[in-house]
Amino acid sequence: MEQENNFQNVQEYPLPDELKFDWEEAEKDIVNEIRWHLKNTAAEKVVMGLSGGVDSSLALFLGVKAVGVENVVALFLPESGVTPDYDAQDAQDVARFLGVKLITKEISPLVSQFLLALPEIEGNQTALANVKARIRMILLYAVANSLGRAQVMGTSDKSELLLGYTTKYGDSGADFLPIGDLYKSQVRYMASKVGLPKRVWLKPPSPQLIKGKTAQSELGLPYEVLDRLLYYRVDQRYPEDVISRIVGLPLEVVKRYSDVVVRSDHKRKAPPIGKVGGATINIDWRMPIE
Amino acid sequence: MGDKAAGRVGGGNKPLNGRPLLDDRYMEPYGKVKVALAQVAPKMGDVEGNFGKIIDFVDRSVSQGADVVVFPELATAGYLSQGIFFDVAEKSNPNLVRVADAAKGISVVLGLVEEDDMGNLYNAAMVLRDGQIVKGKWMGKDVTSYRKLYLPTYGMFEESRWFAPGSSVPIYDLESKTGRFRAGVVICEDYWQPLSVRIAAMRGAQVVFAIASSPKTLQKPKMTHSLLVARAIENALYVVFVNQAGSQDMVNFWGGSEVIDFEGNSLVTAPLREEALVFADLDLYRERKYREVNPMLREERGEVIEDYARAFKEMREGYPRWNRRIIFKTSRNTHYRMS
Repeated sequence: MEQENNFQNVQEYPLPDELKFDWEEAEKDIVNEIRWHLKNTAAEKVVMGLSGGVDSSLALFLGVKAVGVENVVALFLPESGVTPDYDAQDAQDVARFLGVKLITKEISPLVSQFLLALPEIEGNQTALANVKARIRMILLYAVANSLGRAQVMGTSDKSELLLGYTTKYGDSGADFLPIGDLYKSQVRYMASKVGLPKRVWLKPPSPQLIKGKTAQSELGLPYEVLDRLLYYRVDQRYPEDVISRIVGLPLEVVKRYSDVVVRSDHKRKAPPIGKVGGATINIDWRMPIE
Repeated sequence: MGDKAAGRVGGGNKPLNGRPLLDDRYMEPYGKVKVALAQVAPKMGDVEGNFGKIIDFVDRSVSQGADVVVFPELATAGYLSQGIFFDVAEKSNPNLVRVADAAKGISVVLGLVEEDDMGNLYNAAMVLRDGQIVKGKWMGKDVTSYRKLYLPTYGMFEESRWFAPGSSVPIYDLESKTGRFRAGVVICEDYWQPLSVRIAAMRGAQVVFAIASSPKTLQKPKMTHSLLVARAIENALYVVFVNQAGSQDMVNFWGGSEVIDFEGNSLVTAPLREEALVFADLDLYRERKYREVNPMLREERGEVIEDYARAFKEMREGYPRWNRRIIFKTSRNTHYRMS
């Protein structure tokens, strides 16, 4: 945990200057959005997966604040041999901190069954990793359906969404994404400010789909750097060469991530519909969600 | 109306030697106006429910003795209604009659979806009172609505997809318990540009109702407040800002409705995000006296307005040509090729 050593004495997550924001106001905004989303969709409960990571911990915090602890169902969905013990500990700590009863469902039997049915994917790390994320999604929706009047809360942040570092219909498969407009660094900062356990916002982010892999090892750069790059590209729409100079990365690197943002757009949208008539859904026929 | 005008400070159309100097058709510049700011959170797709809420807020404003109750932009629809706007227009007419009937002795300024006889939709505002539409005046003609001039179509906004723009700023002569006053209406993006409020002011508005459905960002409340303060000071009039509350499709409409006087002071501010009904008293005599020493409108000059129009034309025709960006890009590329 290289970062933990660097930040051992900090009381809040050190946020790059560009990404500084009024977290208290943002907290109120998101809480209000969750509250009205449920009201407008005639739902009462929120179902979500708590991994012990910073995104789901903060989303749970906001969900509880919005609709109360009695209306939030948090599921910890570990995979034995892959999910590290400290994530289990952190998930428990966060749940206890928020007064939420944590339901634990082990997904390894489901993964094994899946491999029995489809042994061909065993050697394909990506395919298998996505299966795991989608198994979790299926479980969350099954719980939501069984409860009735429940919405599945996704916990993707802006960094993951922009980089397409999500599984389509897996972790990004949800009814609403409350923290999807906060970069990972901002999520970690807000988590530190609202008083979530320090280990949750200091540990290196990881989807824990493949044993031992962190987000940094898969993405190639730490979020502290990526978030600044994404901020200048997406929020400020700076050209790549200017970003390269500001962030201090080679131009090719900035271009590569900039391309990833564009190419992963399909993960953030509903699938395109082949046009035949004049009232094609989403193109012509446009309706609000709520 | 002279004798009926209670609470009047002085002057104006007071009978002079028993003979009215001005008759009832002229505005009473010394009165007070009690405004109600109805910060509602409409629900998209629930037209009947939205109108029910509007009528409830009208009733509450009547019972509090307000002269005017002001609702936000698209209060009948919700801001992000997209394809539902057509249905809202369809379902509005019978409901507008209900609102007009509820408006007993009160002027209701209502942001709504208007459909004209050609099937065009407008993001519009109407004034309703005593079972009628209060007509605005424009170029000596009666108009039944104010139609939003600037339809934002950038970022998250796509109003030009749904609405046709208006192109005129009518003025309303409205009643208060102390007499008559003159008001203008502008809708959201209209006050992000300086001209709409200025036009209303030049047509004699003492009060401008700035109704909005402003989606919240972390910066937006502060920016909006600054703009409204500018509009109030530069035109020396009251700005009554009424915004939607609640949240639609995970976008907050931040409320924060307020009344800003001609000196830029907030007289009343409604809470952020939540529905609210707040009241404020406007003192038009104070405004009149303020204008005597701060003649913002007297200072306006036709020559400047003419140059404004010329500059606009030049900008649209692309003159002067802005090529700085191209030079900048070229030099950047050169720089990298060299390094």
